[in-house]
Amino acid sequence: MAYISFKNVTKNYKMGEVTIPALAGANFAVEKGQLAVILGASGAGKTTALNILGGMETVTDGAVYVDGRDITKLRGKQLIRYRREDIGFVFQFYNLVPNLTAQENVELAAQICPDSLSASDMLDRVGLSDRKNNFPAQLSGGEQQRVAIARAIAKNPKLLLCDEPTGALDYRTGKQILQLLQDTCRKDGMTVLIITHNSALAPMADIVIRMASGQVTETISNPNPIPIAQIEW
Amino acid sequence: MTKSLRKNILREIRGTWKRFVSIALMAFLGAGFFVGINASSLDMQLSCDQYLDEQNCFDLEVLSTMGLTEDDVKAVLQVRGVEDAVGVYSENVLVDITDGDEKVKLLSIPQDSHINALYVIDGEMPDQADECVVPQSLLEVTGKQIGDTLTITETLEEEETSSFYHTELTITGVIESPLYLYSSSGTNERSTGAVADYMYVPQANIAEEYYTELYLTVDGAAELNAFEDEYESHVDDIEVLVKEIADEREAARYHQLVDDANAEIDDAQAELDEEAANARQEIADAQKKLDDAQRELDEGRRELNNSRAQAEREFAAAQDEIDSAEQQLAQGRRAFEEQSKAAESQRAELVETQQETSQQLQELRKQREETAQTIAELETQRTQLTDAMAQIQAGIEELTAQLEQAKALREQMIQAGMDITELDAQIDQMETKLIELAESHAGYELQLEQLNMGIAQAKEGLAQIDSGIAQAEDGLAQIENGIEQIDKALADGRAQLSAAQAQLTSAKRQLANARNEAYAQMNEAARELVDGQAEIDDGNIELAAQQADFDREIADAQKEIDEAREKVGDINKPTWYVLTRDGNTGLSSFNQDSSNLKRIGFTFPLIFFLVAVLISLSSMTRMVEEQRGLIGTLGALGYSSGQIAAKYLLYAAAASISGAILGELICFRALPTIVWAIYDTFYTLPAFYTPIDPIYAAAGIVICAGSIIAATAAACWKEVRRTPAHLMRPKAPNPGKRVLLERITPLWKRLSFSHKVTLRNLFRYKKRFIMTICGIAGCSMLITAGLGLRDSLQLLLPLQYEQVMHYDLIAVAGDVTQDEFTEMSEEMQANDAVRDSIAIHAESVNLVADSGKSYEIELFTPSDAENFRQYISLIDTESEQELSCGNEIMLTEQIADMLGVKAGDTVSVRREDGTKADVTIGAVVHNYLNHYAFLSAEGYETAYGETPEDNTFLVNTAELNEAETNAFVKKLNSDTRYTTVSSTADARSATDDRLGLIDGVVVILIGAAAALAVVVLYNLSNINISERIRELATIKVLGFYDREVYQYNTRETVILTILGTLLGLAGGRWLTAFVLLTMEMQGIVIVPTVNAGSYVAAAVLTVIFATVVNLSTYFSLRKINMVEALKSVE
Repeated sequence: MAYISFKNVTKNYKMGEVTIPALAGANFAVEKGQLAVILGASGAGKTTALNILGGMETVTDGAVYVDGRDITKLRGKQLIRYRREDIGFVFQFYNLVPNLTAQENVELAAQICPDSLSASDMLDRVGLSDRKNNFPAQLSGGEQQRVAIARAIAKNPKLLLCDEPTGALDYRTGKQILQLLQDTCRKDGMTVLIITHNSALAPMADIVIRMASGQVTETISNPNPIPIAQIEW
Repeated sequence: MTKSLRKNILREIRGTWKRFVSIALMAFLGAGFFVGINASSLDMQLSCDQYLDEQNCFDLEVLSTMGLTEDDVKAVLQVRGVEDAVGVYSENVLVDITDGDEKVKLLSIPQDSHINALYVIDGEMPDQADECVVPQSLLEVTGKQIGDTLTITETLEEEETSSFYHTELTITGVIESPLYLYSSSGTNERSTGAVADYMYVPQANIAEEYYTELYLTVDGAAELNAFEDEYESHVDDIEVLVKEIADEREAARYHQLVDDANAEIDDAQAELDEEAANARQEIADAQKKLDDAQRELDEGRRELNNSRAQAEREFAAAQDEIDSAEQQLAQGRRAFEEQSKAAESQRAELVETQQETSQQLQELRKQREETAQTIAELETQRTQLTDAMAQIQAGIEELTAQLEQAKALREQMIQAGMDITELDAQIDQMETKLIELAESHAGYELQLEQLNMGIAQAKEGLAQIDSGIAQAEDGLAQIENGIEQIDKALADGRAQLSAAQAQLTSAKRQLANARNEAYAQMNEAARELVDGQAEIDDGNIELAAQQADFDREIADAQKEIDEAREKVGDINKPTWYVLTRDGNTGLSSFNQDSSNLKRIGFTFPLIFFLVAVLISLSSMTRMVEEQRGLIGTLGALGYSSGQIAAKYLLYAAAASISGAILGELICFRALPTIVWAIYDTFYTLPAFYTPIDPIYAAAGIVICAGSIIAATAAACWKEVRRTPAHLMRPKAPNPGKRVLLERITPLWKRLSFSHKVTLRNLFRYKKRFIMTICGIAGCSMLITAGLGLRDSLQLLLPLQYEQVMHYDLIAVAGDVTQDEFTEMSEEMQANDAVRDSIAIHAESVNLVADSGKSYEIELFTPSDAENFRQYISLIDTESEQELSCGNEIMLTEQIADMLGVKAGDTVSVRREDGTKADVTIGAVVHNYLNHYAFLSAEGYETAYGETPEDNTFLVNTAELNEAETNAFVKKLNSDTRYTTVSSTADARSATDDRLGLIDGVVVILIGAAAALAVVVLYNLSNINISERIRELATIKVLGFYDREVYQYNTRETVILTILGTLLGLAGGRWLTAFVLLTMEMQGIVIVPTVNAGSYVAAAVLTVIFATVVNLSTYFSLRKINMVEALKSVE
């Protein structure tokens, strides 16, 4: 079985009397150490899928296996523990704690994980050695996203989930971030899932999952992913 | 309002009902508490005003130091603005109650006037002069009922007549008087001399011709609320007018009194003069009588002297006569003695002759005797012879007879034939014998013849002798005759002399007798004269004494009259006191208490308001901030700023107005009712109204909703005026900042990571920081203040009775002499129940400050100031040093405050009899209950010129339990010499009761504060969460356990709660002081105090509320939807 596998995952949102299907039997699988890119238009269900994978959302039906464990069966504390130890999340809007310095934001995550990595090292790795003591407000968007990534990987998670990590960034910065994510995958062997609506990014992935209307329309394996630096859009 | 806007608002409310409810709750509490507390005092004042209007309660009261007259009433009625006026007589009397006497104020019910009409609770008003009506409380203390008879006793001065026609009064009804709003409460303050109860009798029972009080109503005053300024200024205007006529009326009364007094004095003078004249006449008469008697006596004395001289003369003449007679007698005696000498010698010769003759005669007689003897012997012999012859004859005859017989017998015997021998013998013998006898008889006859011859011879001799004798005797007789003649002459002479002597002696005796008698008589007369003189002298002395007495009496009487005349000169011009209702204890304390409540109604709701508005402001600001994107969108769509803001303003208005209305609906009735339930025990009003005051209702809503809406508008304004583009961009989160603490690296390093975060967070959101602290501080401040009020109230009694008043009971003597009091003092000292006691002088005095303010208080005057310290500690408010009662008066702090005086000022002290003295205030001393003044006996003497008489004991009892103390108090109370005996314990518990009532209000405050605390904290936590929802979602996504998220969020709240609580505790201390400062309860000084326990309780309560609310956030935090929160910036 694959490292990550979605099996007939259905997710319905109930808004009063209206039921909105977000996922309608989505199926895909990602192997360990792969960099996956999920592509799709707004409302295709990609964020929902990522949220489910990140333990932030429950499924209406179906099963999601991560490292051989069905996370849809997890409840309460188990789910939090799953989030805590297995998942690193990178948001579009960084969601750094504004009141904490870069280093502290990383430490915030690192301190709760048993196998966490050194926050300082992480910041060194994302190229922010000299901005460690800066507050988010003192950092540019790209720098903030780097801190967010450092925060995510400092937990030493099984999965690194990124929801439109470059959505709020300019092209150059976005490219640097994607490079960082690709490097993380390649060098650390971490499984990375990136949501994007930018199809141009597809070549950088080991596997590209296309979604539409809550279903996975296509899963393309890319045996030769291209380094992000070589991708132009 | 467009339909979509309305829908938008309704949806918004539905979606954010928590926020809506919390704002509504704020408004509920703010407005409800505001109107509730205000309405409490308003309703009290309104109900009271209604009652006062219904009873036509006076607006102004006129008192005079010299009483008031019907003319005064008429004069007052002439004053512009005075509607009606009536005079009332009142006097303190004693009434028997179950345990002794009770001093009761008796007032007259004026005829034909309805001012101060009594409210009849039961029974009916009296229509007879010997009837009365009383308040319920008096029935309770006397144990009487309607229909029973109440006996009143007056304390009359000397020569004073009773002021009442009847003193046995039938109770016809139970009433309440508007004048005694307060005293008819269940708790009577029976301090020294204070009058606790009252009763009413018809004016017809009043014997006095003057009034003691004059009550008047003011035109248009009834229409005004008696507790509002308008009323006060309206009445003040008339008060000024009434005061204007005071001078004239005072003068009139003065002249009346002076004229009356002068007339009385003139009468007395006339009477005295007349009496003096009469007495003088009487004395003159008596003198005349005495003089007459003296004259008579002198006459008598003269007469006596005359008669004494006369008698002396007469006695002297008589003595002369006697003396000459004595001389004559002596001469006669001498002559007689010579004669008698010659007669004696003659007589001696005669006696010699007589002796010789007698001798001869004797011899003759001897011879004659011898002769006669011889004759007698002869005759005896003859007689013997004759007898013997007769015997022999008789013998012969007998023998013859016997012989005859014998011979007869012999015959018979012979005839009888008997032996006659013997008889014959015998006859023989007899015949023999008869012969013998015849022989003897013959012899004797011879002898007899011889004898007869001898006798004849002797007789012849005898005759011769007899003639000799006769001769001698004849001679002798002649001699004897001579002697006799001599003797006779001598005897005659002697007799004559004796007779003369006797005569003389008799004359002498007569003279002596006469003299004695005369002297006796004269002495008697002299004695009588002396006695008479003594009597006259006594009479004179007595008369002199009487004269002196009379003079003295007249002088005394004259002096009295002169003094009276002088006193007339001393009659002070009477002083009018024109008082408003503030002068009435019941009304003024009602005013004070309801105003206190009003002040609490201002202070507390103010804090409430501030907190509520602050919280609402935060809520609404948050709401507006949350929806800045929407605002921007709407702005971009072309909605005007006003239209956009309208949503938030309407939202705030809907929440705050609905909350405020609901709060008012409930609190307008509920709070006044609760509060009145507390005050009801103090003040009796027939009805309590709780109308909704539209002004306050509107004010509550307007102020409450207005400030919340204004706060919202302010929040909106900041946002809506920005460009839509700006608004639609996500708001940059507050930048993180290093806090000061971080500069202290060693300390900062030691802190755990999460603590660092907490600390930074604390200072990041300054608004939230301040708001949370203020909100929590406000709540804990209110709770602390509530508890602090309780503490302060509870401290009152220990302060008063442990730091100031140390005695166990106070016993006030009634109208007793100093001797009686001394006796009482000794009894008191000797009583086993008494450990020690001190006698002092106590009296009620009126303090009048320069400002004209006047209050009646109790003045204590100890003669032993040093010992007095054992009973009452006088602690200077300035130096906090204990002082000794001195020659300058000491006032207790509140009265000094009320009078506006301080140490060194002068205050006028007016005694009950009207005399007054200006006394310098020596110090202001601590005291917490009632008002007192202290002045040493010397100071009193200096002020009034008389030594204060002790009339009160302060007593420390021996170790007694409660029952023993009660028994002792009861025993003293039943002693008629005491008027008031009250134990500290009783006073303490009475005050305790009253404070307990205020405690009730405090509990309401605490409850309200607690409610506020919950709402505030709940609101705060909601705001906090919504404000930080992204951050919280982020850390949830990062995998923080629920507990960790809770801690992450709560740690700040806890710190803020602690900070806010600490601040609130300090603020509560201040608020306690502030509320107490504004309350100013009459007769009670409350030292603001908050006990450690209360701080702890307030802190614990706040923390508990905060914790409960925080715990509820645990669930809110769990429910945070990470996906929703992180979906977008919004």
